[in-house]
Amino acid sequence: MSGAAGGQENSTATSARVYSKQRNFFKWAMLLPTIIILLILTIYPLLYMVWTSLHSWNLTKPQYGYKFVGLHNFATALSDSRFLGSVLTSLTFVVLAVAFELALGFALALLLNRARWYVAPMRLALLLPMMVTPIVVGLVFLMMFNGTHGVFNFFLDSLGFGKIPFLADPKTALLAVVIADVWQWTPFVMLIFMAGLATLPDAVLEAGRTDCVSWFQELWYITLPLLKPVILVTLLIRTIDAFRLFDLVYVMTKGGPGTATETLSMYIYVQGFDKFEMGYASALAILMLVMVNIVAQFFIRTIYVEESAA
Amino acid sequence: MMTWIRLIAVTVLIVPLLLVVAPAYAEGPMATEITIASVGDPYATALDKAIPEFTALTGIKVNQEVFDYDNGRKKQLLDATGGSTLYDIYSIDVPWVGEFDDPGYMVPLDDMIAAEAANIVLDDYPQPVWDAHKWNGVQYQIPLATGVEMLFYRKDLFEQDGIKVPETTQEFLDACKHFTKALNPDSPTEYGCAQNGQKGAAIAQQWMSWNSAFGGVPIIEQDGKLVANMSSPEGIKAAEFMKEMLPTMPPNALELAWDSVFEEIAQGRVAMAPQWASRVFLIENPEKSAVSGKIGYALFPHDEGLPSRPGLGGYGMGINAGVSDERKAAAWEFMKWLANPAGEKMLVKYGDNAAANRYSSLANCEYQAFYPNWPVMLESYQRANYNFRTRYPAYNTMSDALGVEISEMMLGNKTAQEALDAAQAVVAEELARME
Repeated sequence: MSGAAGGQENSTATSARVYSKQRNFFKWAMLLPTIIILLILTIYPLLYMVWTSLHSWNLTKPQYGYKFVGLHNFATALSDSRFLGSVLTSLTFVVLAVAFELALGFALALLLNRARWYVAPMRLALLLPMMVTPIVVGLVFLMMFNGTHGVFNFFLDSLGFGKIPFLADPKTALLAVVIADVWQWTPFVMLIFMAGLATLPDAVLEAGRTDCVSWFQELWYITLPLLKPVILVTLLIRTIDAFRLFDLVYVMTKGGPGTATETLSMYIYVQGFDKFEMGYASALAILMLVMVNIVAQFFIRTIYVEESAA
Repeated sequence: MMTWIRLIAVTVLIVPLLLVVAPAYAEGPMATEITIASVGDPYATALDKAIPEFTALTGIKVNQEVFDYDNGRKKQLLDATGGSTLYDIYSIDVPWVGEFDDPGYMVPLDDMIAAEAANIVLDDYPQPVWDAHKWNGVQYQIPLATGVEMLFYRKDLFEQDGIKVPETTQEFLDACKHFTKALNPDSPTEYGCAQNGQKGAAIAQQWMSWNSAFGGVPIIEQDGKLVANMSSPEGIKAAEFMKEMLPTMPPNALELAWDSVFEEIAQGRVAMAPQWASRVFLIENPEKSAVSGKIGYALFPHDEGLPSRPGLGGYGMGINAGVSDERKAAAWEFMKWLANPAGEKMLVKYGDNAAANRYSSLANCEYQAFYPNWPVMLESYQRANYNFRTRYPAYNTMSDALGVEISEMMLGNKTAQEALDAAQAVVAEELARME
């Protein structure tokens, strides 16, 4: 290779390296603000929470000091009957709420999955609960379930069934919270299922109708199997959300009567913001994070397997 | 030349900025602006109306931030422990006294009070009302809105049925049963009584009231140490008494808390309610109450053979020890303006019936005509028990633990012994940490 050609090649390679470095620098410069915000708002608080969970620290009692206790908070949690009870309450709530939301949401989606004049206004009306702030939903249902003046008791009493102290009876208090949650989030499930139903291949459905399958056979053997990924995604989202429930419980029952509606989020709140035991509350929050992660991983892997099979 | 121009430009721009942002609090020997943290009781509304008069008189601007009970304690405590000095004056409920005074978050007031003795008129305070805001013999707060527990009852129905106004706990329980339709078909009311039953501070406090009525003390000093004493025989008796009352209370008994208790008696559903005297306006307002003019007032019931010692509580004003001397001076100026017979008269005028901290207010015939429970309040103050909820710093832990355990007991999930043992264990752990 001649010197001039070799010099030209070196110059091109150098320009390419410089250009590549500039591109890298530009890329990182554009990403840097997002990374900083992520570090400040997500990574740092998470690491701080892990660090705090290894300490005994009461925010309002500085005289007790800030003591390193290792995994003592976690060990205490695993033998804390109130913590274990709150996990059970959360799981019970998740199973009840998500089951009702899935069933009702799917039924509504099927009902509205047709070209009729009433579909659009009904869909709009049914989406309204989703747009209300959860705290407001809690306050409204608190009044509606009131043992003396509530509208539900008004109708029950008018029909001769007498009044039920919904929020003061441990047998009905959790159910009341479930009803409030179902009222608010069924439209969300309905929306996802409607989107799923819209993507079902017409050819498959037509083939089924050609074979004179019944409505139930079409639903059971064609629609539901095709909707499996959508169902799994909906389950994932609603399960995580329902497990983290706080606002409805805080407004409607504060975890009572007794500990009948004390979900894990509520118990963490009590430890962190009533008792200001920041170390213990941080440990509980990490345990909750682990639990939610396990559930989420299960659903994600199942979805992944489904998609791979497809 | 350019350097001089730059220097002048910086001075012209920055100095006015410094003057604008300089804290308004640091101006001369006394600050010109202070902030009070208040709890949402009637006194807060009365203070709102009174504050402009103080500002017109002294030029000191007073901001008031009002919170609900739970958040009131938390906000003030976090301000004190965190040193954020947002508030100059704290409103301290009697059971919080140890929590705020013991670690030194409040300014001792003895010297300042002594200098203003002629203005404050110490003899005008019933001793329990004044002493409730002392800690280890030092005065840290001045009574602002004192509360005492008493029995509210339907005097018309008691007279109609010839029932004696209850003095003892047994008489009270018998009267509850008499006025419950399910137990007595001839009862003029559906239920005998309503009381605090909501899980948390409400039901915890109700147990503390009955514990005191049976002679119990929740935390005692033994051999120089603090010992949790909730599962004493008196404490168990109090818990079982509450359980025994349940059939005489409305079905939503375990939802009721303070104001909602008064609603039950105001709507004529129950015949009696043991509650704080300061809420009398809820049942004597003819626009909101179906029983206005029909309510009688009596001392809080007590166990047979024991004297009546009604629970005393309510708020005192104290100065945040973390603020500057100028702010402390301004805060004291405000407090001493209120802490005299004329100041109290003004608060009563502005609708704070709980501002009756003094003999001169309680014995005033004009006020008694307006607040018919004041004669009983006067007697209650003189025999009151301000330690029925304990004032040791473990109060909040005790309230939290009892709030859950007593609720579980009322639901039938635990016996009185089991519930109180569980609560006592939590408090014992906290007391051990405090040593």
